[in-house]
Amino acid sequence: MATITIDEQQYTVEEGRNLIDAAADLGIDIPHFCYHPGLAPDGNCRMCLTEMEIRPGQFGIVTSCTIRIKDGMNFRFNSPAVLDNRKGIMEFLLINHPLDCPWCDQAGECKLQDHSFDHGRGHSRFVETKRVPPKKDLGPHITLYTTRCILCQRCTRFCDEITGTSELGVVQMGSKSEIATFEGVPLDNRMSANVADICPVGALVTKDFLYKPRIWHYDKVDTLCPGCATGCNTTLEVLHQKIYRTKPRHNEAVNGYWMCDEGRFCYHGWQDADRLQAPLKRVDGELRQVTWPDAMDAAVSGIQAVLAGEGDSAMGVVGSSMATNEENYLLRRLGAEAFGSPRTGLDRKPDGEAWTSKSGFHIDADKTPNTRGARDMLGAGSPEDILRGIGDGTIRGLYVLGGDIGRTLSSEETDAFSKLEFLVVHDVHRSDLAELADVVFPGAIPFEKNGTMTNAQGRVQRLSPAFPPPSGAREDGAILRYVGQRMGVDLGGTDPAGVLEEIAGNVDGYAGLTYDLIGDQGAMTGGEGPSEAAGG
Amino acid sequence: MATPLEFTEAARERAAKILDRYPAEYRKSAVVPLLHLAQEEWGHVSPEAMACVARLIGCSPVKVAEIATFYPMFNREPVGEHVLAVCHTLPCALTGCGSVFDHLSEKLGIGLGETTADGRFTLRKSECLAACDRGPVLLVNRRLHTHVSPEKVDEILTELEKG
Amino acid sequence: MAAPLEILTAPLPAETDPGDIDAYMAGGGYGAVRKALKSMSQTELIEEINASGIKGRGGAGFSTGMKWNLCADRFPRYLCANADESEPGSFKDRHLLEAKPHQIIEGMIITSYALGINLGYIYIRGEFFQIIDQMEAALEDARKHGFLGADILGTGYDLELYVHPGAGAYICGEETGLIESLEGNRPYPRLKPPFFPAAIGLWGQPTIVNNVETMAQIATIVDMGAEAYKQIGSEDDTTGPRLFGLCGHVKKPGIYEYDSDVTLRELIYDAAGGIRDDNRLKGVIPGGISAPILTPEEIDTPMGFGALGKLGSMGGTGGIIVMDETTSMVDALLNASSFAAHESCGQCTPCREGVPWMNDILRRIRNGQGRDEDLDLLLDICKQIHGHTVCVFGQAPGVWPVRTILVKYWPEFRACIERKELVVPPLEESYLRPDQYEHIPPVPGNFRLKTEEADAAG
Repeated sequence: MATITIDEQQYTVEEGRNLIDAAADLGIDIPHFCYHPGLAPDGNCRMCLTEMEIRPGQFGIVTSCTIRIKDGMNFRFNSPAVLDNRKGIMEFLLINHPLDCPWCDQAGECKLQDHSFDHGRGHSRFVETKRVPPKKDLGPHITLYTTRCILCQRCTRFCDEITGTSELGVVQMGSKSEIATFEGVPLDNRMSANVADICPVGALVTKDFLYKPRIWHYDKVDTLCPGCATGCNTTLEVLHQKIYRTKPRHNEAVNGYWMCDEGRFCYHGWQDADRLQAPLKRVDGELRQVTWPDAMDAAVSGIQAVLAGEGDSAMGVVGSSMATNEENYLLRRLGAEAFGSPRTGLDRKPDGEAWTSKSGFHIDADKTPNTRGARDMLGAGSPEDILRGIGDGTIRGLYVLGGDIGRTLSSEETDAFSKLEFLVVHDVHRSDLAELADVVFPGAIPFEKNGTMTNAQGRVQRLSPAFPPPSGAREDGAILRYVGQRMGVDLGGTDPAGVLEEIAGNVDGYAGLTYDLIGDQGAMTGGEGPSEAAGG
Repeated sequence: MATPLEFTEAARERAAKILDRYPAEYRKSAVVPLLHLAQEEWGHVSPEAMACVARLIGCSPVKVAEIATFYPMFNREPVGEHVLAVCHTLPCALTGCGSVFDHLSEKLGIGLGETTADGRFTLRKSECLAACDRGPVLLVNRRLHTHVSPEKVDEILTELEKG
Repeated sequence: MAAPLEILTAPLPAETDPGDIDAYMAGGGYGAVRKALKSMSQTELIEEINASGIKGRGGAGFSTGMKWNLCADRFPRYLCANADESEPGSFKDRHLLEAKPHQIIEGMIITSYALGINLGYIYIRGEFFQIIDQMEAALEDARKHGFLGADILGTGYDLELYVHPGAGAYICGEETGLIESLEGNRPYPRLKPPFFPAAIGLWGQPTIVNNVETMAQIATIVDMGAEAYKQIGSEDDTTGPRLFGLCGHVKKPGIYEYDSDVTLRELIYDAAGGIRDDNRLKGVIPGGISAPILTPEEIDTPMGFGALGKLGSMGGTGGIIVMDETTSMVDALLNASSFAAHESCGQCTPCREGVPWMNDILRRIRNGQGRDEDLDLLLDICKQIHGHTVCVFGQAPGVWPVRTILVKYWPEFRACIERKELVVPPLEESYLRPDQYEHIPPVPGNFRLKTEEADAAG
């Protein structure tokens, strides 16, 4: 730790920490544009200039973003020289700015607006003609409103330092400088949309979040990305039960400040899916919408028929890597306590393409968020194991926790599942699997779930619902509990915090984990608690 | 983008010599000299030429575009056979570069940055060429003409027409 | 009356090609390299340069010895000789490059040897086509004669030097801009701290960036010895011979070599033969366009870096731009400002936005559309840029000409605004006398015109 002085007040801060970050920790805002804690400092915007004691009694102007805290440093954040510079920089940045806040999507989260309010001059002294460079389409997700750009180069540095793909550059010289891509080489790396998050002004915007409701209307929900086993921490922006935007939430041990485009925009697929609005039951070979009690009766009698005819091990249960630890744990209990000694499997769609960025940000090949957790909860065998069991006739009935809109069945799987005597499925839409089922319970998508998931590293993290499931659907834990009840088994409460407590007592590696301990940054399995592994 | 450009065999050899001047791990240092080479080859630095240089260095093409568009010496568009650049910075302005430029403009029938219809001449202004004691100065292709007057402009143009 | 010198400007024998290494060697050339490599240790050489008191000739007047001493103890180290001469009004480097390429190479070899450097570049601005060709040939000749390459003169010391051409950007003359350019990046100057070239320079290694005239002077120092060298000029200001380039409205523009004690008046009226058409002097920029202008009452100053600094100006590059009474200072400043606006690299906000803004305002004033508030606005913009930029460019060509020409020639600018057209008032009515404006400090900060007097004068 180091003791520093800011405007004649002493503070104790972490030695070696960046001055802007250290000041933020103390609740002191040093206005800045080009500095971003996830990128190397560049010092080009000049907004963060402050005064530092260079020799005893003598202060000099320095860029805060390049200062690393050392014991005894002495700063002036509010001297006339510092305040005058801020006012000057604000004026310079605004003289060529279009001042189009009324139709700019950044309004409300714009550093120019914020700093102008705090440090600007309130009127313009500029009577010359503004530069009006044209808007540019940079890639599949990103548009550049060139007039609004302040050339802080966060975006170019992101593509150089983080992705290593270097699609963006600054072309032309001096006041004509512009951010650009090269003809035929668009900004299409797998993390490209992060540039819109880090753009401090309204210059880089995602095409996805264009002309949408103003940012201050949204509810913000901290949760996880369901797109892959990395488990990026995210914040959803939600209005009237609809997600409008996903942004990465900082977690140094998992995703740093970033997330991939696939994950960022995956909410559309979930949100736009044709959701099941009521349970389904097979009647005369066709799935028909029925009431919940009707579906429960059908499920329970079907399962009991399999168990009665074929004995204890004839029912299999298949967990889901889309489901939470708690849901998979409740499924295990349901299987063990109501189905005798079922074969347990874990269903997962085929792998996608893995990618690791220059900075180490990892997109996992496993396109489901909770394979590790589901496996930990179920102690599950491979999907092939279940197929073999069906094939050799030892598995006659199956209870599947589905719910992955990306899951389709291969012809072998279709053949195998068709042979089952009785199939119960939780799902969110009429998937290939649901089409084969005898009873389908409409469950929840990841954005409607409350619980924990364990990412590929073994970090247990919390998932929070952006909104409840549709009125005819239920959270999967509640469905499991209901089925259990009907079969004479009490699965206890479905409050995830309570279930996690149970998991901590029963599942290897989860000992000691609690909701509070996991917090908003997660905690490692294996009893390490929150750790500081390297992130993206 | 149009067909990819490749250097001729002779230019590739020169490029290899240029690259040899820098440590092997810092090939990007050669970008400016290689862009000069590209301009010698093709007269201007098109996006295809930038891509060619980028392949040679092994970097993203936009990083070459950053350089090619920064420096005023690189022509982004085709230029005339002869590029005439009148220095217009203060010392030359004090010694009459304005009349030199106006005379050239009138003689050639083109304005600043333009090329004659026959593709022979491109007229430009240049910042200080560091020959202020001999102003006004005029850079014609690779050659610097000093103490230029409207009369001398006529001589230079006649010589170029002949050559 | 100061006497002209012939040290750096010593003429070559008639009919000699400046690139001819044999002719150069016949006149004693490469003797300094032999002396340094054969008879002096690295420490002795560094001490010799320290003792000479030489200040760098690139424009800032920073002690060369100190620069060398700051070189971090890490290897490899690199040398960059700066021949990106682009400061308007400066042409001494071109003169040396044309006339004495081998002396520059000598200085580079000695510098490299002294600092344990094995690889160096001479960064020559791209428009110097013939100079680049001549320098490349000269380096090749030096290599053939065993002054470059492996085991130079049998001493076991290896050195390679190459030409690196620029491509027409003024900013590459800034030492860290030059390094970025050499690395193949946009030549954005680096933040200092931490990127002092002597600590973290080319490719992250300690790097010495010295002007080419400084390189030539190094050869001279080794040649004549520090003791003799520092007798030239004054030790407490600037030692060694200086190259002054006179241009603009003088009868005999050209390069003149004197010591630093020569006065500006002597240079203009004696060396360069006085003002053209025997007009009266209106103003003189004493060291390249960035150097704050001096009015006729201020020219009896010696040309040392310190002496000019006391006047609120600077020695700069020694490029002296002389303007006679027919000159429109509004036009002159607009020209200087256009240069700065064109050459601003665009990296940092104040320079990228502020410098072109000032240029727009000045163009408006020149075109008869000036407003009463414009002059104060210009001074305010100067203040907002000054000391707030990444490199010195923002203030050197960006601010200093505006705030000094504007303040000193305030009545002329006022006249232009009031009469809504470009006017060149009679000399007496065009500028303020030194006692009419407050000292214009060369350091970041405010300065204020004595407004009442200015209004009275305007």
